[in-house]
Amino acid sequence: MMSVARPQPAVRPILLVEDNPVDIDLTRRAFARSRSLGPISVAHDGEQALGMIPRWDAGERPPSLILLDINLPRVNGIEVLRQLKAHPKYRCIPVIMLSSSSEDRDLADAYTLGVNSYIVKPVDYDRFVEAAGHIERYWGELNQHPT
Amino acid sequence: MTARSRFGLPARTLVPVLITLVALLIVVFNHSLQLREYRMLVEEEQSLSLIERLSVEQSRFEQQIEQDNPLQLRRMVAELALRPHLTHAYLTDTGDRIVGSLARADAGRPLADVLAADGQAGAALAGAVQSPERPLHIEVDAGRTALIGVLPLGSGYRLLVRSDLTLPLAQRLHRSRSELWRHAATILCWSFVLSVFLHLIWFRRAARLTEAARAFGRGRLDTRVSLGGSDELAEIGNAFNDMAERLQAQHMALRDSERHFRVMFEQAAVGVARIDTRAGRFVELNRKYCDIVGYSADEMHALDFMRLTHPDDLAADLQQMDGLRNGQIREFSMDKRLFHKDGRTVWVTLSVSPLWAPGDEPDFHLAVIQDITARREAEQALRLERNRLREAERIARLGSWEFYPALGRRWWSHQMFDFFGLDPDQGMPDNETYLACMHPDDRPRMRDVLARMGDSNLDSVEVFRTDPARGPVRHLQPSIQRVPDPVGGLVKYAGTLLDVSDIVAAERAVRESEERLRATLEQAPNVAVQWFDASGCVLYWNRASTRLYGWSPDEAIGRTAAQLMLLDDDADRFVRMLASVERTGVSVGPYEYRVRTRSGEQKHVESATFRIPGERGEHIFVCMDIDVTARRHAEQAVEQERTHLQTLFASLPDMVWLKSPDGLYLSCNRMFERLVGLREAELLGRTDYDLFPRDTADYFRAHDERAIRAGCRSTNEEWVTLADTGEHLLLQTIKTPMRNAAGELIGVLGIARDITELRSTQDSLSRLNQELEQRVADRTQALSEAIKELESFSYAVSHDLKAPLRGIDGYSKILLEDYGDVLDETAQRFLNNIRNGAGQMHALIEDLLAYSRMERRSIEASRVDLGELVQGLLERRADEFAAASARIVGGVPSIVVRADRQGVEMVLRNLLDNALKFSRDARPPIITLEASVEQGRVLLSIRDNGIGFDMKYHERIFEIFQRLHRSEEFAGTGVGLALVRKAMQRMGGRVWADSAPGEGACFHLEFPA
Repeated sequence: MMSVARPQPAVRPILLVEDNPVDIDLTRRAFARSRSLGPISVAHDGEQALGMIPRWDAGERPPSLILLDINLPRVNGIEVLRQLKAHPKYRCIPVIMLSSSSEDRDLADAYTLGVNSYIVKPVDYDRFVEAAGHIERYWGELNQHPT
Repeated sequence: MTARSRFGLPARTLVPVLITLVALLIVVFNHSLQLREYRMLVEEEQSLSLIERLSVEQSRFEQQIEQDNPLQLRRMVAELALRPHLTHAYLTDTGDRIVGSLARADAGRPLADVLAADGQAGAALAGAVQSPERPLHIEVDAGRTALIGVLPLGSGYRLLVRSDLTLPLAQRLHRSRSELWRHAATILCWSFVLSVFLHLIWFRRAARLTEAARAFGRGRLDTRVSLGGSDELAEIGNAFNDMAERLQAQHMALRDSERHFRVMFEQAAVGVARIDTRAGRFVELNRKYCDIVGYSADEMHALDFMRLTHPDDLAADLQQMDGLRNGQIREFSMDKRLFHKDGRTVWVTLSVSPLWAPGDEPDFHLAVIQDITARREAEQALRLERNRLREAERIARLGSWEFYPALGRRWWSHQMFDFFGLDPDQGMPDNETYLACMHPDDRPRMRDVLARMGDSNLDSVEVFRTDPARGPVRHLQPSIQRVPDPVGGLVKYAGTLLDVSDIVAAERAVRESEERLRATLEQAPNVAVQWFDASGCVLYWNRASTRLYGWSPDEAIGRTAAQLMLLDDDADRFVRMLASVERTGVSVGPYEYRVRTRSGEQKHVESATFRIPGERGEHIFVCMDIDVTARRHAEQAVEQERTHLQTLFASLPDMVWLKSPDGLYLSCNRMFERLVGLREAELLGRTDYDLFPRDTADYFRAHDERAIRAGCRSTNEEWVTLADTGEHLLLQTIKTPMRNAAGELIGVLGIARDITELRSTQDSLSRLNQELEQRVADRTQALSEAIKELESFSYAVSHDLKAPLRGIDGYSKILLEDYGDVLDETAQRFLNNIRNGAGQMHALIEDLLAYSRMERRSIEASRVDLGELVQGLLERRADEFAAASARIVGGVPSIVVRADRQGVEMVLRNLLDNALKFSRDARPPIITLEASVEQGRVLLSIRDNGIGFDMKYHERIFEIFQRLHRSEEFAGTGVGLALVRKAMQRMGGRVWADSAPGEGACFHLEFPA
């Protein structure tokens, strides 16, 4: 059997929306070994995250995946999700909720708004690295989505 | 008739004419051929002669032309005129100028001019000159009337001649025509001779044969012909003679046959008609036919059989005719009715046969009728008589029969068969069949009777019955009579059977009716019946009498009423009463009086007495007594109760009154008297309008009517003023329609209670309530706000606490991994301790969150199968149990409770985890599960054989953060059991435990049903 190597498209970045610098650092480290996912760019609050949209319109490459916290200053993660998923163009970008909350209400809100995945951020760093590995494997390798 | 060809001429004329014509045609055709031949012959002769002449002249002319001697040439041309038939001759030079001609004037003129002036002959010559240069040649001109010759003569000279053919041709034709006439004359002669000959040998004989055939055709059957000779005509003549001979013989035979048949037809005893099958018209019919239907033959010709046939029979007739027409049947015969001319109906037997050959189109058929009216009428009369007899026998229920002993044969009328349910068509029954129809009990006797009929005299036989298996049993009374012959020997028995079932049944009914009446009297439960004679002696004493008075019938019959039951004072009165009843015939009572029984007890009875006729015409007196002692006592009790009620009614603190449906007061109690200021006796018969102002009375009346309409209690409140003290009271009045046992309205009951005080208490209470509700609402508002704050607080706490923990754990891990080589063992242990601490902190936060969720979340009750849930949990923990070598004992059956599935699952999970955790040191750990349903509540217990606890800590273990062990001994946050208790409370159940240190612990759960 012959495998034909497809030209690898330039890997698009991941957008991490997170206010806590410790979490940002830990998330970067957890995803450090990732090969199939692009570099991580960070929005530090909801407003900044939504501020990316005009830049994408202006020609900046939109991310291939968004990791979104819920507890964010100014505009919270649920609101960011609502606006992203209502956007005619960017609603196809997969959004993964990465939050400490396992509240039913948050889960229900996120899924109602069309979140693609909801992962409770593990406190145990080993399990956080494990979760990052799963995210990479699933969203970076297995899953196909429109570019 | 003369034999004529299609041209209308007889052959004897036509044949000679045709022969003559053909011969003449041949002659004319031959002549025309000869004419053509002659013309060619003449042309050839003349041409040869001209060529010969010109050839001779050529050398002469060429010699003169060479010597250039025009004169000589001219002369030579003129000499040519001597030649017979030559009409033109021109010698032309090179310039086509005429050198010499027959006409002198032509010399020197151009040939063309001369020819142009010469008409038709000139034109023909000009045409020949035009043709190209060639040696001598001759040609015939266009009209075949002349020969044109052109002779070239050298030096450009040409000789042109025209020779006329007309004359030689005319001479030749003249000869030919004479020949034609000669031939024609000859042929006409021969034709005439031939015609005469043919007439003699053929046509004359043929005419004779024709004449003979015509005479034969006209009916002269003896006509014969003699032609002589032996040719075809002679043979035809012979064949004709043979045919005539045979036909004459057949005709004679047919005429005889026809005569005989006609006689038969006319004289036949039956009506015969030939009928047109399509129209149904009578074509031919005999006298008998006319006699039967009463019409003359002429009238019949105008009729058809359909019109004569009775309408009821027509359909059948036509159907048969259809069958005949389409060949389904070859003939048919039927009885039918015809209408006679005088209007009556004639019965005939009709036989129809077709007169057409099979396969031919139907044309005529033959109908033969025979008058059977007399027979029909006789049959009808006979049938009528038979039916009358049969009907008479049926009505009389009388069957008649005859029996011939010598022959062993019997005859039965129809009714006899009916008696025994036999079918007359099966023939007369033999003895065994007859016996089989009889009642099994009667058969031996009747067998004997039948046997004796053969040999001895039999005068009478008793009633016998029919077999019940054949329907209702009949009782049959035979009567029998011997019919002797003149010398006294027995010929036959004749007799009848009379159905006497009704008489037997009637007798039995009378008997049964009497028995029933007596039984009724005997069985009457409360009515004591006695019959007395005029002196008062008992004749009959029924069982109820025995029950009432204690005397048995045997003891009572024959004694007097006075002896048995009457009190002393009543004895005379009783006898007098009997006498009165006897005298007047009028029944007495019911009247009530006191009696004594055999035991001396006194009773009240209600009695009626009347008389009935006895068997010997005397009067019997019937007394019917009913014991009314109990009723008497009941009436007394009612009277007493009435007194009690009256007292109660009078002393009630409420006002009570009763009004009739139209508003008249019927009754009231003392309290009501106070209201209106009247005594009850004064009030009766008055209405509200007599007591109150009009608008108040209207209001009361409306209330009464509302209660009546509604058919149930109606309540209202009203302010009134007491008549005696002038007190102002609020009354609550209840109006109830009163009905008797039959459901008819008898009045309206009013009950009024003074609720003045009650109302003022109610008013203050309701004000208090409102205040209280407002306070509760305020508190609830405050509380829900506090809860909301608490919720967001715990939410924020838990999440904000988790983030630093993740940092602590994460960086510890990174330190261990990235700087492991520069950290010594102690530092690494410390880092691990930091991580463990962070882990515990995380567990605590999660438990706290769960606890707070349990407090906040809404409980959703659904059907939860405990057995299924426990089974699922155990399966998920199978590995843990296996790792701890734990055993599970007992189990939870499928019990369905209404509870919150998530809550129940959390409770069971916590208790199972605890059981496993605290029994880890037992060898082996045993976890016992039990469940039961008791008085509608579901109980479930989880028991372990672990370390247990002192019951004094029972309450503490269910409180949050309370732990009985250090976390090094048993890991835990101290939230689990608090969570369990909270969940059970929220689901309406409860949890408790019993235990002792070192003896394991048992946790009990109770779920509401």
